Amino acid sequence: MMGQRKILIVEDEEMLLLAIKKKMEKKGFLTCEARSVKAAIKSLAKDKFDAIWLDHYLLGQGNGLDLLQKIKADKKLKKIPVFVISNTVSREKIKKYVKLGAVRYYTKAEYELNRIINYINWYISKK
Amino acid sequence: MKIRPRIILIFGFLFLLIMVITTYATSYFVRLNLKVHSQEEILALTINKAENVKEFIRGQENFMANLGASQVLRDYLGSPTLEEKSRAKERLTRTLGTDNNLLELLLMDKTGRVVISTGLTREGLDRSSDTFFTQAQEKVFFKDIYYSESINQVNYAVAAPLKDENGNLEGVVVGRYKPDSFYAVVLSRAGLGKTGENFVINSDYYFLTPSLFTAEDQVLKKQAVTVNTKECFDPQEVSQIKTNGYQAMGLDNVFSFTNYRGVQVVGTHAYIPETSWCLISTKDQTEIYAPARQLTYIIILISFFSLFFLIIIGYIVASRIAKPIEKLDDGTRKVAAGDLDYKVATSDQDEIGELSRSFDRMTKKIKESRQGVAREVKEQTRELREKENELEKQQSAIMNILEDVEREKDITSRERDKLNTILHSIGDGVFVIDLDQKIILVNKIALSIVGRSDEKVIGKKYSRIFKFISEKTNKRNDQFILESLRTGKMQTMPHYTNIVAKDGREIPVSDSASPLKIKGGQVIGCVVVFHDMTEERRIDRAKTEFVSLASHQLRTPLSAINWFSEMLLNGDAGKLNKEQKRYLAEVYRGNKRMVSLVNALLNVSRIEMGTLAVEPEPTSLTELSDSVLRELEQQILKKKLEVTKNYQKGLPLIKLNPKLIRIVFQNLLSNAVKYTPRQGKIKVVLKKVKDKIKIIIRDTGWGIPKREQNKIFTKLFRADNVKEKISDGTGLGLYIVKAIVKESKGKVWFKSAKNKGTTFFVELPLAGMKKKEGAKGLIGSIE
Repeated sequence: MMGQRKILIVEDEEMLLLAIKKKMEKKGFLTCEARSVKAAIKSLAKDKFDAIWLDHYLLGQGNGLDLLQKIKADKKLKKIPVFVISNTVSREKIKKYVKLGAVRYYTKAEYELNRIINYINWYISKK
Repeated sequence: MKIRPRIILIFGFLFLLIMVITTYATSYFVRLNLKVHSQEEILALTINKAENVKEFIRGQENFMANLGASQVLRDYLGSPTLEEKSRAKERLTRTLGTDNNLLELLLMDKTGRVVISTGLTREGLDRSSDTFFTQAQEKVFFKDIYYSESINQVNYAVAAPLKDENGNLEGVVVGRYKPDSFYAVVLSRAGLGKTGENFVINSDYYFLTPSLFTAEDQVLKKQAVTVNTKECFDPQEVSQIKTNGYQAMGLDNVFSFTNYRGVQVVGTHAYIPETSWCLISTKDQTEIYAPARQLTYIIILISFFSLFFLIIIGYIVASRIAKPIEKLDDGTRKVAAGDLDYKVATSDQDEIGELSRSFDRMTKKIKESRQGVAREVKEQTRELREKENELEKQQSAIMNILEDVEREKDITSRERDKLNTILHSIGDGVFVIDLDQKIILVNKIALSIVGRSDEKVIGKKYSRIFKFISEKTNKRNDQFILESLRTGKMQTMPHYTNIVAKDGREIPVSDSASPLKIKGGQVIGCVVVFHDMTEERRIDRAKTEFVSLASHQLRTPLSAINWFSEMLLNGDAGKLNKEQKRYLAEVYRGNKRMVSLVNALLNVSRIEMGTLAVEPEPTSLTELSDSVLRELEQQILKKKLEVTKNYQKGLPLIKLNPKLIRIVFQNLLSNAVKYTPRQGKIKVVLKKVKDKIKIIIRDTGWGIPKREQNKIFTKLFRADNVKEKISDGTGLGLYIVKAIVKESKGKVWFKSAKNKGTTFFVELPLAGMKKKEGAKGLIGSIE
């Protein structure tokens, strides 16, 4: 595909947002941030994204699962690969994310940012 | 419809049918017969009469012919002297007297002048134009019947010529007759029956004679113009008669037609050529067919009488058939009502009689069999009575025992009351069942948990009152109770068991089923204890959420530090100098330790909460081991450690939770790598021994001092010798390993000596882990 890839980063922690954004841009992504389900939906309606970075706990109403459900229920959005990167490790939650169709689940604290981003990059470029 | 009327009706109908056919048939044939007969008769009669008429005419002609030969008359005509005249007249007068019917006699000379007349006709009259003169010149001439004015009456004339020796005509003598004798001939009633009519007509169809139905004054006034009369004068027929006479006439000349009176008759005709007359002979059809009609009437009359009699007979016959049937029917009713002694008892030899006798036989058989049955029943009753007596004896024996038991019971009931009181004061739900799974004891709490506080449940099957189901599958989950009954061992309720209350609510419960045994070890029942876990679950969930949240909150800043350090180290914010890099590396490492500690703490808290989830799947231990070793490769290479793998061939897959067992491998192997100095050796053995799998991890490291070996599996413990050398370590790894292995129904132990190395043994049953429901998995350090 021509042009730069765009990723929507849905994460509530400011400092983490910054780190992710910077790293993504370094890798050549265009980024957009959202800290709540509401903001994410808004952004998704405005722009076309090649991937979504999704955290579980978010600001305001709803969490990552809710957002993922909404995305997968939307014809236009359900094809966008979603990567869930969160600190919660609840088995139930992981199962749910996978069942809903998240591409992969990462535990934040245990992964180098680099690796995660490499994976995302690789995943969407194979298309 | 009943038999009787049915039979009567059928026969009646048949009879009528036959009669009708008979009537018609006979009527037809009789009439035919009669017709032919009558035709024959009439023909014969007619011909006969015709001959009579002919003969009469001839007779008359002969008579005159005779007179014509009279010498006297001829003499006179030859010499008409007075003397001769008186002699001639005398002759004529004398002749006149011989026949009553002669009206007058006339003598005419050859000129046609009446010279002598005995009657009213004047002498001297010129009658030369008269046919009786003109036609009688050669031979006798019979003149038609006609009305004569001169004598004022109907008459006929016969004239005969008088001839001399030479045959020359000298004169004509005419006789004029009353037609009466002629009438008499025609009107004779022989063979005519009642309506037989004969008459003669002339060629103008005028009656020349009276007839049965035509008066004399109609003569020469009335006509009879019919098919019959016309045919008589038919030229062909006339010529036939003239040539062949009456032989030519046949039955076809006799036919039925409407006569001059308009009556239907059968008749015929006969032509009389001498005078060109026709003789008509008819008989009324009614008279002809009268016999047929009479016959028909008679048949009908007979039929009715016969029908009447037939009905009566039919009734009788039907009765004779119906009566025994009715009797039989009556008999069946009586027998059906219960009178088995009743006999139809008929002596008829016909089929009905047979039937009724068979019926009687059958009744007899029924009676006999009933009697037989009655006898058997009596016999059985007697047997039963005997048994009853026996039972009574037994009962009294039992009663005696029971009395003893009662006494015992009193004691036990007092004990039981005590028990009940205790039971009801236990905080958990308790119920006791017997071997038939029926409730024999229950406490208030058990009933209140399921919302059946007011019900009487003693004696009912427990499964109707206490429905244990699995929270996940909604299926019955009370096998633990049955297991307990069967095996005589205590069984714990599976996790995530709910009980369904009367109103359908599902309440989480836990606890166990214990068998009730009597002396000797025989299981006679089961005690099931359960308690409402709703509160516990809530607390549990709260704890879990807390831990989850806590972990999230703890890790978020750690993640930030992690990633930013990473980025700095990568030079994403610019190149770093050596010192900056070093400090940063320390920061990064410190962070990694924190992360590791937080993970371990979270795992520990989960283990302690008992909310480990176990999802066994067939796992290859060799793969796990290899995978973990790969992770540690860097370190292994750095420390130049020699790693030997000794995996038994054909090692089966075990149902384990790979993640959890991975953690075991990770901990044990990373320990081996961490606590073995450079160029040390590590050996990993995987083998199957009987029904277990053995994992042996041996290192040539610093070992665990004996003094501290007993604390190695405790929380946060690190032996002093390694603490010195490696500051890194949470002290939680082995605690976690032990918990996991225990959970997997396995064993973990070790052999170690200071500086001699350590060997850790893990034994896992081949049967694998049992599935344990748990909300959480353990946190793996590396995915």
